[in-house]
Amino acid sequence: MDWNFALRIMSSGLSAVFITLFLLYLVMKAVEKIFSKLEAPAAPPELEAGEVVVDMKEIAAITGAIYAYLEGKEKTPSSSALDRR
Amino acid sequence: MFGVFETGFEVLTLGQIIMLLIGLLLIGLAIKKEMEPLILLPIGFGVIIANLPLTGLTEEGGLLQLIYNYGLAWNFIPPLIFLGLGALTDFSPLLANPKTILLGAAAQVGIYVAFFGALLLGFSFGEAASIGIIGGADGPTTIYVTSTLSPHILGATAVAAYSYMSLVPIIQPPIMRALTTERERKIVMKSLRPVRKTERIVYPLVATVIIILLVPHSAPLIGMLMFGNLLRESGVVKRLAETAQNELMNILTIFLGIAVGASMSAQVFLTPRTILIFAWGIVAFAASTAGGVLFAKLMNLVCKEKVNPLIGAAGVSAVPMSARVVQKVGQKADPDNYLLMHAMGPNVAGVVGSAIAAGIFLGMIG
Repeated sequence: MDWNFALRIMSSGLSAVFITLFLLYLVMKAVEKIFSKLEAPAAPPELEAGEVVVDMKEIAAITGAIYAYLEGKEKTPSSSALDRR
Repeated sequence: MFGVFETGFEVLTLGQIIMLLIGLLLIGLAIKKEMEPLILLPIGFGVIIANLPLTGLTEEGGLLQLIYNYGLAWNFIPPLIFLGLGALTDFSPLLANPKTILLGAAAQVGIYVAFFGALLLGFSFGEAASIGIIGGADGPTTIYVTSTLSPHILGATAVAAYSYMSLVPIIQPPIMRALTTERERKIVMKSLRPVRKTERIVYPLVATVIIILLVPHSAPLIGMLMFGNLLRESGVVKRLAETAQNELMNILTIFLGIAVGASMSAQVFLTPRTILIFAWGIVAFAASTAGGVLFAKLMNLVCKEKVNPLIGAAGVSAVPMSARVVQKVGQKADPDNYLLMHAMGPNVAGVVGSAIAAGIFLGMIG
């Protein structure tokens, strides 16, 4: 029995299985990254001169302040949101 | 007996009678215990008709000899079964958690443990490789390697492989429990991300090229497996995918079973070596299970995201039985823990891993 050959089969066999599947693992990770980048949401477009950005949270705050004024909860529409405007 | 022609009763040997009983036992296990019935039933019947005397079925030009020659000696059927397996396999759990592919590699350890053990017992290189590959828990791979390297022990290795595959729920749990703590068995894994269709299409193509370039002798098995998977994932050849999954697979299984049964003649099968093959087969299986579980524990030492070590046991392939066993053992520790899909990753990786191991044996010994 050629024991050297037997040990060579065992060591190269097991390492080949690991190396092949590890390489496949790296490729799968790379493919996953590539596709997640390709399908990532687009960045917001750059603003041009004269364009206005509307902040819906701020509009809600202003609307709330006006309602409070109209309902008499505040004497003047002087909430911090309106002040800032 | 009738004075004109000879009957089988006059020449029936004790060995043949024992083989007839073994054939009946296999059929009984398939029907009563539902142990891998799709393959054990044709094997059992093949054993019976191959061991009836004066039929000429296994002689030159006989029906069983033709099926055996074209199907197995030419190594035609096992790779085509891989085509069907590929069409049935969903690689998404593996793609969603790619690191589990390494568990499929670790669970091939048993192949080499049994290979070395068989050499110590005096088996030749080809026989030892055929016995070792039983640890891959993949019937067609075992048959493919054995019919190339040591066709005279085909019956024993094939029956051992399929029997142990059906005994996965009995063989694996004690090993899994012995190698893990209650706390480890309770580890809950993060739910898997959805996998894009493009990724599922790219995977069989990339895997084919990488694996076959590295291990060229795995080409018949890996090539067919990935082709079958591409048929499935492409979504444009539904008819072909369905044929590969059903009709083709069923026809091949019939021929595979009967051809394996035909190879089990009394003079070849009834030897003390058959018992050793069965014994080392179970060692291979147990060592593969242990290899997968221990490697998962090792991964937990280095990886940020913990894996439940039980899923390592599914790396032996035996799809999907071993993944189901993982789910069952995991739920005994924590009924709210669902490990099935996590175990499917190493499970399908095990199929690929054992095909690679087979390719290496064929490249070095064949």
